[in-house]
Amino acid sequence: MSFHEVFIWTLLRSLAAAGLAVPMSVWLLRVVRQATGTSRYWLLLLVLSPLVAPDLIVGYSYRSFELSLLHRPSLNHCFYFVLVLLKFLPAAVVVRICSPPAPVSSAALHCAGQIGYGRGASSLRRNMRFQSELLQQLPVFGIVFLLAMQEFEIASLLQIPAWTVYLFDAQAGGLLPEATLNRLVLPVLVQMATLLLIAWSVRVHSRQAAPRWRLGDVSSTRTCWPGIAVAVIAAVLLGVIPLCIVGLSGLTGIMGVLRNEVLVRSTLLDLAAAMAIAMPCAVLSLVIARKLRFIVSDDRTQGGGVSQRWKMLTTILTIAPGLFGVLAVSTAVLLAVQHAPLTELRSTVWPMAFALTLFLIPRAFLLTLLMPAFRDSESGHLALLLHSSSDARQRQRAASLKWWCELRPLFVISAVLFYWSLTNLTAAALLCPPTIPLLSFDGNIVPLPVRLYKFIHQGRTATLSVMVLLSVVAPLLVIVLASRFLPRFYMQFFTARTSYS
Amino acid sequence: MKLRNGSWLATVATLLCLGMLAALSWNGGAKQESLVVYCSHDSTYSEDILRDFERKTGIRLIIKFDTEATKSIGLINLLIAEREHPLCDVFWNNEVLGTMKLHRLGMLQPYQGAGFRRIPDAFKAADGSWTGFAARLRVFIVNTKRLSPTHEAIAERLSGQSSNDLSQVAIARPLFGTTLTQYAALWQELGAEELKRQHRRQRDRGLLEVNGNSVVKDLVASGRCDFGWTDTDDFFLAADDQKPVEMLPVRTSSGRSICIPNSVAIVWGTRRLEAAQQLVDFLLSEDVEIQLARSVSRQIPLGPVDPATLPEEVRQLRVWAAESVDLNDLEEAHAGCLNWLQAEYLQ
Repeated sequence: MSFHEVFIWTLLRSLAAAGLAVPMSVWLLRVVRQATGTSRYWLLLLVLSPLVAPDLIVGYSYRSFELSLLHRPSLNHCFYFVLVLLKFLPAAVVVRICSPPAPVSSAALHCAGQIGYGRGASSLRRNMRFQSELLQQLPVFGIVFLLAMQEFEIASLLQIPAWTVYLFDAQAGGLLPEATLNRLVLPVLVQMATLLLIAWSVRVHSRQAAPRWRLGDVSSTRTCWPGIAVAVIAAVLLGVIPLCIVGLSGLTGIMGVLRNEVLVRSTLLDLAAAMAIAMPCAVLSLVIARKLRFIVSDDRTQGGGVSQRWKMLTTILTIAPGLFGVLAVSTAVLLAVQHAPLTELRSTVWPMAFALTLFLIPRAFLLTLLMPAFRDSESGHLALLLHSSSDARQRQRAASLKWWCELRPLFVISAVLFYWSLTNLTAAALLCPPTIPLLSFDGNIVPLPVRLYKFIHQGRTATLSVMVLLSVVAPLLVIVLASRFLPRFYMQFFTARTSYS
Repeated sequence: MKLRNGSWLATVATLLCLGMLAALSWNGGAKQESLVVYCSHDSTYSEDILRDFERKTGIRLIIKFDTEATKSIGLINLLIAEREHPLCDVFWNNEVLGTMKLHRLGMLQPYQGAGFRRIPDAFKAADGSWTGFAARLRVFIVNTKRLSPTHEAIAERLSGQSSNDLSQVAIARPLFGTTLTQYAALWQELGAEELKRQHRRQRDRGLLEVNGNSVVKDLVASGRCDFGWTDTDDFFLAADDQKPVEMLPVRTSSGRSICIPNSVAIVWGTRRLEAAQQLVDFLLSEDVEIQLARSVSRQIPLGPVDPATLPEEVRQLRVWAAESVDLNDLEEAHAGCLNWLQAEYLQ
């Protein structure tokens, strides 16, 4: 297939996935909204879990199954399509949760239907439907479309034609980075157009209705079994089955691997290095995304002046590079550091960190939109009152409230970003420096995803499974430990700091 | 301090992150002292050898490994991208055509040391720009439960006498790695037009093209394909896993086998020439060839070694390797063949 054929194929697949995600995300949201109390959050976790399933592990788990479908390419394509749809469906749910309510109510639409069939009435109805439907669905459609367009690792492992895989192979096949970037023009234009469309619809929509967190504001009595079925199938296909496949073969080979001291030592060092790079990238992307969110919020509340337009432009320009995919970002960074004075950076982690941060910013932005606005909430007001108290215990409660309502969600988001960053293969393969002296005492680093990919290639199932388990368990351990110690540290620091101020 | 103002937290977090990245980027002068090696051979086997060199000579190495994620060509592209400001001193490539490409671009520094002299002429550049060692062979991997492991059975299937359908036969996409070398050898022997005709005919008959030799191995070992083209190292992974597989050397029309060595070269512009030469001689030594022959991948020594030190399978492979095409003849064929394949696959 030529590049254009592969691109059109990817485009059609992404359009179909985005089209299906629009109604399916409504089913999923209905499931979450109908639940109450703690079960709502567990359901939300179930619904969102496929989004954080590491692509490398999903691709690896189905590699053997995919080989059995090689002679039936249409089934193989269908299977991949289902995986992509279910993986990015949670992103559609996230967008729905953080979208403003419909600017035109159903009652208004009903009234519009009653006002006759003249030219003016039809035009009014059309306008109202446009406002009600298109503005609401466009961001949902657009985000899933962009994510599906960018998917690389599962397509690569399952041998599915995709423009991202094609470009990666083309570059590996001798196409120089400059030529690779030339071929990126078409995908970049399509994605940029989509991004602008999303930005436009969000802007128009949010002028007409105030944005807010909309997880619990609607209760519906309509049946939610399709949503439950989709959520369970997604969690099983993208979470349970891959973990079982990796876990079972890992358990059988664990002793053999643990006896290999060199392998264990080098893997632990690689894991430490990967986490040390992933962590700052996650936090930096979150800090930038938060800043962008405030810019967008300001823009919404204050209308559009010249400075507001600049702010919006800055936001789009900061988010856009990440939307072009990690391959494009990494290749561009790789090319940039070949020129003086940046050549000195080649043997450092800066290029990789820069590429990963750029890649994570749009995702971080999307996740921060999920957060309810603490500042303007009742909790925020209460925290402010408690903080102004002369009683130290009251001030400590203010700190505690701030942690639970504002910083804990930020911590969860940074944990998700950390995991995405840690499991990203492309940036690591292209940009990781050969050595990080601070961590690699014997002078060499093989980035963790690269090491895992190599084991996949060699078919070293037991070793790979142990490594995959390690690469899942170790970061989780870090996240759990951080979740235990960070609140205490924060509250001590916060209370001490406020008592001096 | 105002509770509403959370920017101090963002500032602290940003400073901590930047500090952490700065600390990770600190190299303590290691870059100036060390020899930088780019290695596309599997790190499982090559790392021990390179560390052994460090222990014996005290020369510190910084090694950048390639990965199958970049199809073993990532490092060649990187070397070309770094051409104006090279970082790498010594390049250990797990095949030879990419190294020849660097040679054509004038990026390699000739060196004819002790190691160069022990390798046969067919596996090195005459001026010492690159030298081959420890090779693999292109082989047919055959599932013995589905096909008799003979050249006749394979020829019958490929010629279409027994069946016109080749959907049970697998090959890696020839744009990369050793399959590309095989195509270059066929281009050289059959001529461009005949190879193109054969290639198109096989594709029309449903030949299964997949991502890499390991997938070919998996397909044949699991019985999903009858046979396929792969390398000896992949074959031994399946054989060691007790799969029902046998191998036969791939031969060109003139009956020559296709032996693909590792290659080592010094990158032009190195500031540590003496250390680089020491490493090249070390890698081309008998000890290293024997060590690689005894590894799981059973690489074939090209220089003289004591046969008693080699595993039985490798002794058989050495016989086939001695009948290989001359790699120096492939340099021109490689460029033409790759151009055609790029036009064919990367439109």
